[in-house]
Amino acid sequence: MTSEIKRYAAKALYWMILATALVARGFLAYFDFKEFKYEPDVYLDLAADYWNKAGSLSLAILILIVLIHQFSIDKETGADTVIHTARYGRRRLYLERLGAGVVMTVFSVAILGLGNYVISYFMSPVGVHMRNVLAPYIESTLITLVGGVGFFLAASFVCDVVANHPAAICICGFPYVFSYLVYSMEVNKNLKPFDLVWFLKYGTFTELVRGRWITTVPVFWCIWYPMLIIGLFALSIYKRKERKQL
Amino acid sequence: MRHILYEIKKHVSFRETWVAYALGIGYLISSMWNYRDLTGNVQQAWYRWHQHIWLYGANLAMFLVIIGMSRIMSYERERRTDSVLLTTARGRNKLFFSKIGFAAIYAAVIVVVFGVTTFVHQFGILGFEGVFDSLKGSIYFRVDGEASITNIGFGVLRHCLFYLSVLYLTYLVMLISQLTKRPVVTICICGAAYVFPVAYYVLGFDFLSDRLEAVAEFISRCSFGGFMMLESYSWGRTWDFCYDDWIGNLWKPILFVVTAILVELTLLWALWRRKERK
Repeated sequence: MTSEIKRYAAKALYWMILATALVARGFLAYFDFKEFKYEPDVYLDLAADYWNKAGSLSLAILILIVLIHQFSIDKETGADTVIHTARYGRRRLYLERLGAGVVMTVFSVAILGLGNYVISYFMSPVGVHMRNVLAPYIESTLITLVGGVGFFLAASFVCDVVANHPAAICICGFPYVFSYLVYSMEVNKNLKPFDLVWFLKYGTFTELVRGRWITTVPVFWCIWYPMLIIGLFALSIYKRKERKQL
Repeated sequence: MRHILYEIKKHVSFRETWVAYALGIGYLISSMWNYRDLTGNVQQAWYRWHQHIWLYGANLAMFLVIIGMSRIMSYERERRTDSVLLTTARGRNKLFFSKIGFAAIYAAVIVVVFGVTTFVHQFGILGFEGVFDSLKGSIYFRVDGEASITNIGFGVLRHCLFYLSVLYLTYLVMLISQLTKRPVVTICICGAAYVFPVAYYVLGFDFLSDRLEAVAEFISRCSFGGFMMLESYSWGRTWDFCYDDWIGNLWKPILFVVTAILVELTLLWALWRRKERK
């Protein structure tokens, strides 16, 4: 697994996206500071609300663009036939890639969360203490961590099944982004449980990655998300067996 | 033409294209349902149809173009057929022009299918009433007196402008694809380049200082995103313009887009002709 983590760490794109996300957060914190210089509570709320917009988008981009790419890269480079004939090139490599991806997702959440905290701390108006919002911020970060890991697993299984990175980005990214758009739609005002839009709003990991628990019919989502991940994992295994890759 | 058919065959062999088509159709249907006019008022329906490119057409076209065109320039390299194709007598030129032709056709198909679908959906139930009536008003300008353009004429004009904008994006995607040679990086760069003007027009960047806001406005206006939403075809603050001003000044943004397309094509040709360093 160490070699897989090293492969992730050697990707320049990973660090570029991470750096861009933190620089963007720096700009936003600067503008928040300018606008809410005399309203420290608003500034703190915005800092603690990092995962709601910029943080969740940055994490999703990292997962979709960089982290799941390992599951289709062998096919893209034409190395799959060689790798699948190697002794540890099937099951073990697959599980190691999953493990390394989960580790990198946790690492990304930690870096982004810590980066936001440090940036917000140094950009904060005089007399404002980030510790006032530390508890809710840690809570939302932990929810993001759970959602991020779940989203990574689901997306990596999809990428493994379709064996095509851009297609996996579309399949996972489109419903993910749709959940943000629902808030600006007319239909959001009268959303009822088990409507299609309600399902797309809450059922695509977005709410969790945004650092919020789903409060409408929570029991259903406690069943839905594990079932979704297990179902996609089973599909991935089935496809690998079909291709004689497991 | 035969070579363009080969490019179409390549295009339909991409798995992500079919995923994009499926998601695009879903997005189109849900958007048409979400923004449908329920008042039954013909004038209101026309007013609304004239905005559908801004509301969701630009997003849809952007998505289909970026996903569909991101691999077209790097396909031969991925399949390792480039060394054979590009060393034939006229392979390099033929391949280039077939790709350019295919891109123009692809952009036209997107615009035509989108326009016809939304038109039929919006006016099918209203019996296509008011098609040749003179335009009464638009979100883009104020009509002083009787406009000399019909409702359908204005719709066609808007779709022609939309086609120019989609072409602007299409060749840009090809240019970036030629530079990066990696579809995912192309998708990221072009997607990010589209999000900026959309965020500017939808959210507004009020938090910026006046000078920075002017810079942001300039970038948004000149970018393909601004043109795809048809915002940049109004050379000034849109709602201050009366009809005559809008039509009279339309040649300026059109000239800009055509120049941008020609620059893109020139750069693309230069990159295509460049010998690779191994």
